[in-house]
Amino acid sequence: MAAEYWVGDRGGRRLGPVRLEVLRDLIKSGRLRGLDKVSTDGATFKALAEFPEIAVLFQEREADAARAGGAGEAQRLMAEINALKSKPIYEVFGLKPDDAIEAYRAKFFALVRRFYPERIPKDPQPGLREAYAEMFQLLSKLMAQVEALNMSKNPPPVTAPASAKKPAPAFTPREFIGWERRGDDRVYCDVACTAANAAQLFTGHKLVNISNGGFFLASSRSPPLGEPVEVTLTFDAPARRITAMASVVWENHNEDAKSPRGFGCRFTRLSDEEKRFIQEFVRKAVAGGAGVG
Amino acid sequence: MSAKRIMVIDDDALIRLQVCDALKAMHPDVELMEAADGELALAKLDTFAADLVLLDLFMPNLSGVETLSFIRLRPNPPKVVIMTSLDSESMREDLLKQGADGFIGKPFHPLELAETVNRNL
Repeated sequence: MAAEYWVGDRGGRRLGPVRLEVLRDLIKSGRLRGLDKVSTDGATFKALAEFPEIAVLFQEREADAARAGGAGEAQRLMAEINALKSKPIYEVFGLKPDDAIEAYRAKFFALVRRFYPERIPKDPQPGLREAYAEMFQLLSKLMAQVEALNMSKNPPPVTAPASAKKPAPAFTPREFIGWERRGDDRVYCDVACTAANAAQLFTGHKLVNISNGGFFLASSRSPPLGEPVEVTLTFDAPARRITAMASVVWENHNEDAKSPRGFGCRFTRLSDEEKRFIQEFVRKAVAGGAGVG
Repeated sequence: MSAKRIMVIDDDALIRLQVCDALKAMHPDVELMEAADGELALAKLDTFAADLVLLDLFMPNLSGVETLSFIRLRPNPPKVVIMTSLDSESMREDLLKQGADGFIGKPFHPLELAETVNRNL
């Protein structure tokens, strides 16, 4: 039987068991990144460097990505975009004018997938990022036109529930679930939580702390009050990553002895279990423990 | 027909939120359950008889592949659709062999999710 592997990242996430061929495909396509540990039994993890058969796949990926992002790719893509702009929509999608809306959707999703931000090679040449974005925008615009046309031809009946009378989708990045982070204009806040900073983060501020569902981050910059923020809390021991939505509820730009400079957020969505985990993490950190057992 | 029950298993709270919102929009009477990893999901499945599970692959404690194998060992297992950014032909092939009923690559549009869910409910 072929050898199988488990792989893990610093956030404590794991994938496996999977065959080496599967890892090869995922690494080659750039989907699997940020790995730092590997196991062959699912229990004992060792450094990635101890598995040269996997480490070499990342080196090959780097070389491939450098070639793919080479000079000329942006110009080639822009020329393709200009050519598509003069074609009728059905030709862009490789379909017939009277094909069903489902066929258009299937083609659209297959085409647009190539231009997600995650597909942009690392360190792209100038213009490549913009070309990807423009191709995505063009395909989305065309698909939105198809949807609007379909809706005008097949309007929901007058008696249809409100949910059936929603506007046609626009296929913007915001509508996609699991969109590559930092590929849009959302505000992100990545916080490494350790025994050393847990108390300052979660209990140090009298107004925004974990007891009322928030945290305070000492920082020289602050998002505006009310701004929704996607927060990723990465705990070191035990390793765990919690992603939550929060809103900026407090900011202080002028540091003084009583209030440090920074901003406070209140979670708008955090499960009871996640809140309990944080409280326990802080309790052990304050007590001088290594973390939650 | 009784309301369908769907469990969403993903360590990313934002994705759970978006998926649940999309499911509610397409099936207002659906019963939803969330779990942040495979271990929590298996415990919740003891009391939540899901018709369909939407399962992430790269998670803490128990991976999606491991979770899938445990779900398959249960009596009357729910259908399982894998939702992941770790999308390749070989990955899909292996997961279908291991009993997954469907596959949806992240990121995905709610219309893609609707099509996949409706096919498996």
